Amino acid sequence: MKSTKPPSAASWLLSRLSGPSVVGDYEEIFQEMAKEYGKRSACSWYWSQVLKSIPMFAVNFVYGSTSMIKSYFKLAYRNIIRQKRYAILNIIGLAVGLAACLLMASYVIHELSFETMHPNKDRIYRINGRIPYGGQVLLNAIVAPPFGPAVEESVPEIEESIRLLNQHNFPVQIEDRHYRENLMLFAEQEILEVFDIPLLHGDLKSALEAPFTVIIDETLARKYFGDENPIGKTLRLTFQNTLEFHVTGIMKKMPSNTVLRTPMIASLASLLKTYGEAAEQWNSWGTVTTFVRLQKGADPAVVNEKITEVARSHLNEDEKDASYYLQPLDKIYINYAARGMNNDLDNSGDISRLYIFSGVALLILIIAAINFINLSTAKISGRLKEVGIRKTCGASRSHLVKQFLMESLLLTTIAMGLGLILFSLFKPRLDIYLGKALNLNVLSTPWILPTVAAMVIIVGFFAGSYPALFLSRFQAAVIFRSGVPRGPSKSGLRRILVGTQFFIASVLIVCTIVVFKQVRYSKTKDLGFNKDNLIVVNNREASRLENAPMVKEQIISRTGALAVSSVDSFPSSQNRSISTIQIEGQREEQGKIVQSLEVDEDFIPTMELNLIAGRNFEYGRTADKEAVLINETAARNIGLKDPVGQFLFRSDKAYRIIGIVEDWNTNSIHSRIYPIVLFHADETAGEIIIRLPSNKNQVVISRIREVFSSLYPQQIFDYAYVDELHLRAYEEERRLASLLISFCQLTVFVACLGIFGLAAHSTEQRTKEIGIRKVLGSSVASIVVLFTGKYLRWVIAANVMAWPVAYFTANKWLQAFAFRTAIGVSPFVMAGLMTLFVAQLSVIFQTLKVALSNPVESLRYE
Amino acid sequence: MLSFYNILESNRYGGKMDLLTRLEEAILISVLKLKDNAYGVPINHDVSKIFGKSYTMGGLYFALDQLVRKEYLMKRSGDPTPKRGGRSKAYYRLTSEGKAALEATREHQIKLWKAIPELSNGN
Repeated sequence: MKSTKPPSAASWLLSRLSGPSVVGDYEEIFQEMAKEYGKRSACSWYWSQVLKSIPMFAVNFVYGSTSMIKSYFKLAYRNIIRQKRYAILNIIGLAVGLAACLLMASYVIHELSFETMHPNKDRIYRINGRIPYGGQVLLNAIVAPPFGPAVEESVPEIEESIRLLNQHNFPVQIEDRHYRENLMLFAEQEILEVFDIPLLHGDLKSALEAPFTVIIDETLARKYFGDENPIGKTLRLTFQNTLEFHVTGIMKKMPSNTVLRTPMIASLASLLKTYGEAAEQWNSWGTVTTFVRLQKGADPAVVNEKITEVARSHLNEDEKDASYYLQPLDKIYINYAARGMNNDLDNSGDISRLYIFSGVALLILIIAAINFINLSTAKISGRLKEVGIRKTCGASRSHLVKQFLMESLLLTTIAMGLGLILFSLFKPRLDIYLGKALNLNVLSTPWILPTVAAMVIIVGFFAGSYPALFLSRFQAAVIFRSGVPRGPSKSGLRRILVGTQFFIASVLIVCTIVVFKQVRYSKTKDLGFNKDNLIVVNNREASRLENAPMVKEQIISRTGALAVSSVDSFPSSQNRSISTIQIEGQREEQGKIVQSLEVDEDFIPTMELNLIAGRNFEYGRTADKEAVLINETAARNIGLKDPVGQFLFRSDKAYRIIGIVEDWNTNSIHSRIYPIVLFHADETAGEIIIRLPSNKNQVVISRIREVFSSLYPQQIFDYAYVDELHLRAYEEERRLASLLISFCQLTVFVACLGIFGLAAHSTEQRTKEIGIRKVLGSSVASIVVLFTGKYLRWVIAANVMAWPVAYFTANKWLQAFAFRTAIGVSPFVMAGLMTLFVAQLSVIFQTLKVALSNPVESLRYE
Repeated sequence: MLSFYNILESNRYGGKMDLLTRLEEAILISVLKLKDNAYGVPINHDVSKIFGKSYTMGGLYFALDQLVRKEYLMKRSGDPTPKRGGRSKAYYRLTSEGKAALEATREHQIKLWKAIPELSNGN
């Protein structure tokens, strides 16, 4: 008979799960099946039987070994109680590590969970433009106002279109109460249905239909109106003009993981009514964010072609090279591919930051797990006799493996419980800190507890497997005959693990210091202008330029302000107007894009900018109305050898360059300095820049307020400190830095717990040796050096190996900045010293205690 | 230690007599019937025939081990045979408790069915 064998993998699996007689039974049936139906069907029968049986075998195993499991549990408990200190170190280390990892994970998950709550998110897209401009293609997240309605009408795949517009940082007045809000949207009625925004009060079908209606969220309603019914109340909002809105609905507070999150939505009809003509105009660059919902099964690529066609049929001849495409809703926040989207709703999402955080979370978990292994193995020799006795009494190796795994699982379970407690204690603080409620609640998220349980098991197995497999290997006879057998890696492995911990810690410390340096650099970097004691006042209501000299004169004479300048708008990263300019002999399409500002004669002295060539605008020179100043970057870029005195052209109008200003930076230092052209203000003075005599001078500010309210009683006095605006641009970096710093502290803390435990153990073991050394005349100092030296060697080695890795990582991160600090040597030296110091600190007390003790104490035993 | 363990176990199960499940009942009867040849394969064969569906071996062994744990069955290893890839058979035999449990189940059954004699006679 030809011998047929069941599939070896399946039968191996079976033999793991059950006893030999079961495997025998299976094989017997298999042989009969093979004879009758052929090998193939027998094999598939065998596999299906084995796989189907797995759950039952597992249940059987648990039933069958309840009493053993009970006994393992009891032993584990006793061992933990007996070695309280190690157990506590172990549990705290792991709990802190797990809590930190969960906190990091909740941040990463929050960032990745954007837009997942919208029911039709797969069909919602935003229309973006690709606009060729001055030799580049600019990505633009807004389109012309009539674009949405036009494509909704003519492209059958588009079911619905919604236009919206956001406004930042604006004053709100209710009766005589003043507030300032950071964000609102103007949107069409359909936003409520398409994005499924539930209303607590008000009509979902018509709340945003009429002009000058607004819905606010519950938090804002409470803030504005307390317990009163807000419906029908009036809000006065100031943008270019002050407009009055009636509250028609209350919505639930929006979750923090959508780019649409806003506490206030006003009807777009209000804007259409106010700026009716502008709303009808087609141009390629546009003004409104437009979302579309496609029909089920529509292909976005086809729609891209169609919307571009529709746009081109409306655009002027010279704008017909613009093209448009659909960006999926869930790709907006974390924009994987396209950098440099203009006019985005929310561009704070950053995939590389998520990589950093996930990496750090993983590293902390690894360190905690290493700690766990280290401390468990440190106690190995103490447990060998126990292993010997168990083996003599008939315990098989698998019993011992199970026992040790049980112990480690018990420890990890306790640690996990503690970790979860720590996590829920610190999570609210992280939420407050990040300014968003991370939507990872341990109790409300269904997958979190299973994941945590899986983590417990994996870490427990991972951490317990080494001692379990190592200890259970020895034969009882060997253990008793030769005392403690010398394992192949008595402490080598442990040292390597400690080394790895410090390697990770050192990389993290270096990177953190670099982040810190960069943040400090960005705060203190010479910006080319003096940002202190400078305020910007919104002057939109009374923005006619002819009023400006009077306002300036009043402020200077009546308030004690040092300098005043009126500009069309204060340049910042959110607020940048651009123009195309040409030099003599260039055609229009060869022009360069520059940032343009309209300023008066006092701009340069008020900002304290440095002129490096030429002169400033001067009062009384009418020719200066057709003159410009440029910054250094512009001087380099526009292609003129000696720019002062030459001409620039904007829309066929010539401007004489009269001076060059040293580069200054009011943008984020993420971005390079733009070429800037300062035009002489000719119409509007939308903002007024005022230099105060001293920082936060409330007296002067209140006088300025009086001046404004006496001149323009209608206008809301609205100002901001420039240095605060500047800091806001680095908000994300500062948060990242301080988060990284706290997690670094945790990492070092956990790593130190490990080295502390090891040092305690090793000095304990070598108490006699120390006694003998002292008897033979060794000094305390030389003993301390001997004992601490071996750890310090590893810490130093870990540091040296960490340097290139840290350098590479930090350098990579810095590439995102246009202005970056030099990494230098100091982070490496500091990381080295810090790790050495804390390692030394955790070792030295242990060693000193033993080294100082009387040798009689330690040797009395023999 | 060992004896303590035994007392503990027998106290747990020896005192009360649980009613058997349908599957357990079928297994015990099959073991009785098969006499000296009562091991996994024929028991599975028997039980599957009675219930008209094929049991996975895992499910069967779970029940068998439960019965052994309740001490209704005794398990001993037989000799290895070449047909089984050189692995021994595990033979099962009813203990006196097993017989008593089977008896008790049957009596219970009869008592139950007496309430409606026309049906139980009609079969």
